Amino acid sequence: MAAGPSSNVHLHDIPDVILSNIFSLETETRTRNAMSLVCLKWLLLERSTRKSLTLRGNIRNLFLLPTCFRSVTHLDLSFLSPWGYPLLDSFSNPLVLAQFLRHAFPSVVSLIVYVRNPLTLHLLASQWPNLQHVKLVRWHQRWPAAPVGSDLVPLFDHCPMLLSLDVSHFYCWTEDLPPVIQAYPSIATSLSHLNILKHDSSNDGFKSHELLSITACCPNLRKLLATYLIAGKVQFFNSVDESNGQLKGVEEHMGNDR
Amino acid sequence: MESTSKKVTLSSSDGRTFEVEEAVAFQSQTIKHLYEAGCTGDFIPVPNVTGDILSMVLRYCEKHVDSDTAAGKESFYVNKLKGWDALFVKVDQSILFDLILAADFLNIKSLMDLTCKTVASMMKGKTTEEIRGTFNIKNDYTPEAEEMVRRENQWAFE
Repeated sequence: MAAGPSSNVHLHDIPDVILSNIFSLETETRTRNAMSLVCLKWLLLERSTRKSLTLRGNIRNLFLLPTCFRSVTHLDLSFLSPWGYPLLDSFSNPLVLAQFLRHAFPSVVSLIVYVRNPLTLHLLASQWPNLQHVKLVRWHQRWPAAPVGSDLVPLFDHCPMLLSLDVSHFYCWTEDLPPVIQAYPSIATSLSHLNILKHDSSNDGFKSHELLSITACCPNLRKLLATYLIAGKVQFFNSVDESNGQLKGVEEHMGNDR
Repeated sequence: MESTSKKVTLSSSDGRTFEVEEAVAFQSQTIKHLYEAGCTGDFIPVPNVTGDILSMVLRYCEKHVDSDTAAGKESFYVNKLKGWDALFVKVDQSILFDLILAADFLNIKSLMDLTCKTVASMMKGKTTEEIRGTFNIKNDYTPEAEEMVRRENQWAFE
């Protein structure tokens, strides 16, 4: 093996475990798609290291989903067309479709999904009980007759390992969140990231007692983004506190504004 | 300082020997463990790495020997070292791959990270054809299989 300066080592002489690490460094979808088409060896390496996927397609065609993206841990279902429609309702048996999604993406721990009604979340969350990061999306009106918090209950019911929740793009009432968080103390305790900014309407926000009741239940929040109301004025709270100074931070913030 | 620091001698696959300070050589976990286990005589053999590559690796280790100290973590030195690293990996592909194999065998994590990132950056933004050209890879797809993968890829929003 005593070779001169140019030993003509080929990329494929590098062990697969190292090649996998190299492939993992690439996150851009367009490049990853190109990589998968280089040769059959690259297809295996690419698919086994693809961790993130924003699914594109029509919800009516989901039964055609390939099972090649089994390593995906972060799945974004919020861009499926027609945009904003209930994900599973167009299918005669929504549970089968939910199971199909789990089968196609068995490793998901982070999910973004458009949730028009509680059924979607009930069916999906039960497929991935290990979910840790969830972002809900909804621009449609909340069904006014639904009991307070009912949109969020399925998530807390099925996913005890939840660490971060983003409802900043999810149309709901501010009253919906506190009772759910209070009803699931063990999840509330472990939550570290909470984004409850209100993007849906410029004049809406959490009342200060709601925000305080949320932070009281979540002692381990490390990052909180919130919109709240003081004397009818919309305020923003942004905390990237490292330790449990969080709760105090919110109280002081309110105190200053009073 | 020179006189107090202990030296070790490494021997490459083609029989060249390199005398370096312990702190330099011990950035390689493999050498450190060999040394600590006492499995060394007058010199430590590095059977998988040629002299040319080993001298490059040792040059890298010398440069990085202070990177874990407080002074080495100051942004001025970090940036300077980054610039040095960028030039260090501007080498022919086969040398880059040899460095990866050496970093693997010698277990030098920072060198492994640097070289792997460099290879990854050689793929970034390229088309399939360009990647094949860059790394001299033969397309072994059948047209049918290629079409199937193309269709799978369409499920991913770019």
